Amino acid sequence: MTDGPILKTEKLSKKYGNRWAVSGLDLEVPRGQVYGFLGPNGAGKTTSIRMMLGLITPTSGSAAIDSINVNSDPINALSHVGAMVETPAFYGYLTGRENLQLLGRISGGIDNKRVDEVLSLVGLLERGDDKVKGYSQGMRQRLGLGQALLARPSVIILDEPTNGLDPSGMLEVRRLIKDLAANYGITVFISSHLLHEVQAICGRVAIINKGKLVAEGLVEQLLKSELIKLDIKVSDKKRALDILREYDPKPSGGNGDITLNMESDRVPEINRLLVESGIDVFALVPREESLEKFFLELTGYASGDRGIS
Amino acid sequence: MLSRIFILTKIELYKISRLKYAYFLVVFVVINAFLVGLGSRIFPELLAALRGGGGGGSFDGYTFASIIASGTFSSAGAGTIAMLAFSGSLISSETDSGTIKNILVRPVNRADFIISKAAALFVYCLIIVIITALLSIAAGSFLYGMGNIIIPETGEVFRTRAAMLGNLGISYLMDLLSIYTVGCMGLFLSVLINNAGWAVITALVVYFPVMFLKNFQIFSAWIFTSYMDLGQNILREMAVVKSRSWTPEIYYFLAVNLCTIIVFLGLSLVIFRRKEIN
Repeated sequence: MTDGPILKTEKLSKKYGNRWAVSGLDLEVPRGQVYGFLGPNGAGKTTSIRMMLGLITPTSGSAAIDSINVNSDPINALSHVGAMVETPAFYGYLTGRENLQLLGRISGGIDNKRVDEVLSLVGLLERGDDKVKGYSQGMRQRLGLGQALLARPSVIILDEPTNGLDPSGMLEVRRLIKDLAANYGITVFISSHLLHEVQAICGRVAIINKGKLVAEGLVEQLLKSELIKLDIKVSDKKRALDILREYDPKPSGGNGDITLNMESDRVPEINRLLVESGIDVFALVPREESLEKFFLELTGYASGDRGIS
Repeated sequence: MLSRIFILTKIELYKISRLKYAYFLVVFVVINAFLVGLGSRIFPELLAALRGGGGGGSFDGYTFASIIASGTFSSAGAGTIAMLAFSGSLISSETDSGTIKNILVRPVNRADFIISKAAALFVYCLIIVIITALLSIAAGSFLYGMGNIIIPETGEVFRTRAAMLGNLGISYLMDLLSIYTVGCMGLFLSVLINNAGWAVITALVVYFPVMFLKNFQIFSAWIFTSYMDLGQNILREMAVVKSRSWTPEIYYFLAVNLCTIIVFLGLSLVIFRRKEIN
C-alpha cells in the first residue's frame, strides 16, 4: 500500500460511436474519505465507474487502484476494491447468505463468520436465510452494500447506492457509508445524482457533466466560493433599500425582507453601511446555499427535470 | 490458476444444483428416454425406426438392443435440445441479470470464469448422460431381460451381454462428447448475446441450419452434427449386423468434436476477455 491516492484516473476517456461518454477525466481520490462523484443522469458517472472497475475498456487514459493499473493488472487492482454498480443483482433462487458465501469464495479468504458480520452490519442477519427473490429493493440494496464490504476492501465504489430506496432506507445507507469511513477507515467513492446526498455525506466531490469534469474539491470550499443570499431585517426598509440600490449588488425587496445576492465575506460591510446610515439592523440572515445551486450553475441545468433533485 | 478454476467450477455446480431449470431439463431428457423406450415396446414402427431400418427379428436380444439404443437416441436428441437451452443461458443470464458484475469486480480472471462455466457444463452433460444411460438400461432389462442375445432358431449367441454393455458404454461416451460439443456452441452464443431469452432461442434456432449442413458433401466430413447419431447407430447395427468396424468414423468423430469444442471455447474466451460489461 502506498500513501498516494487510493483511486486515480488519468485522462480517462470512453467513446461510443462518435460520442464521448467520458472525456479526459482526471481524478485523485484520497484515502479514508467519502468522495462524491456527482452529475446529472447521462453525465458519464456509471461509464467512468465501469472503467475504474475494468468492466469496460477505456478508449484512452487509465484508471488505477492503489497505484495498480486496472486494465493491465485487473486481478491485483481489484483485490483492494468492493463495488456495487447500479442496481445490485443477486441469484434470486439463493438466500442472501448463500449469495454472500458464493461471492466470498470468489474473493477468497471469506469464512461464514465474516458473512454473518457483514449481514449484521447491513441489518440483514435475521433475513439472511430468506431467498433473495423475496427481498425488497431496500434489502437488495443493503445486500449489495454487504457484498461490496465482504472482502474488507480499502476502497468501495458505489454507483447510486440509494437508488430505489425509501427515505428511511436512504438515511440508513448514508449513515452506514459515513460509518464505514469514520470507523473502519474505508475510502468510499460514491456516485450520485442526488445533490443533497453528496452534500450530506461527502467530504470531497467531483462534478461531472457531459463526460467532463467541471469541478472538484472540498464540498465546503466549493460552497464557500459561491454567492450567498442575505436576508436583511431593518428598522426603515425604504431608506435601507435607497441606500443599498446605490450599492453593488442591487437589493431586491418586496413585502418581506430585503434580499441581497453577494459574497459571504461582504456581510460585515453591509452591516456597517446600514448602521452608519442610522438604520437599525435587526437581522442579517444568510440563506444556506446548497451544492444544488452550484451544481445547476456548473452544469447549466435550470430545473430538476433531468434527474437532479 | 487450476485451484481458482476448481473453486469457480464448484461455485457454478452449486448454482446449477439450486436451479430448478437445470432439473427440469434433466427430467425432460429422462422422460423422453423413458417414453421412447416404452413406445418402442408398444409401437413396432418406432422400434423399427430405432433399429435404423435394420429389419425384424423376433428374439428378445433385438428388442433389448433397441431399447438401450432408444436411450442414446434420447440423450442425443432430447439431450441436444436440453443442452442448447441450458448452455445458451449460462453466461447470458448472468449478463442479463447483472450478477456477472458482482463476479467481475472481484479479482477473477475472465478466462478462468469461462473455463469454469465450460467445466460445469461438462459435469451437467455427464449427469444427463449417466441418468439417461441408467434409465434406458433399467427399462431395457425390465421389458426384455438382459441376457446374451441369442438367436432362438439356432441357439447361437449373437452378442454377449458383456459386449453389448461395453459397446453401450462407448456409445454413451460418444453421446456425451456430442452433446457437450452442442453445449459449447450454446456457451459461445451465450457469450455473444446478452439477453438470456434471445441467447437460448438463438442457440435452438441456429442448431437446425448447422445440423442441416451435414447434408452437404462439402461440410459432412468436418461438421460435428454429422456425427451426432454415431453412438446410436453403432448400437443399432450391432443388434442386427454380426460385425462391422466403426473405427474410421469414431476417429473422425473424436477429431471433429474435439476441434469444434476447442474452436467454440477458444472464441468464447477471446470474445469474453474483450467483452464490455454494461
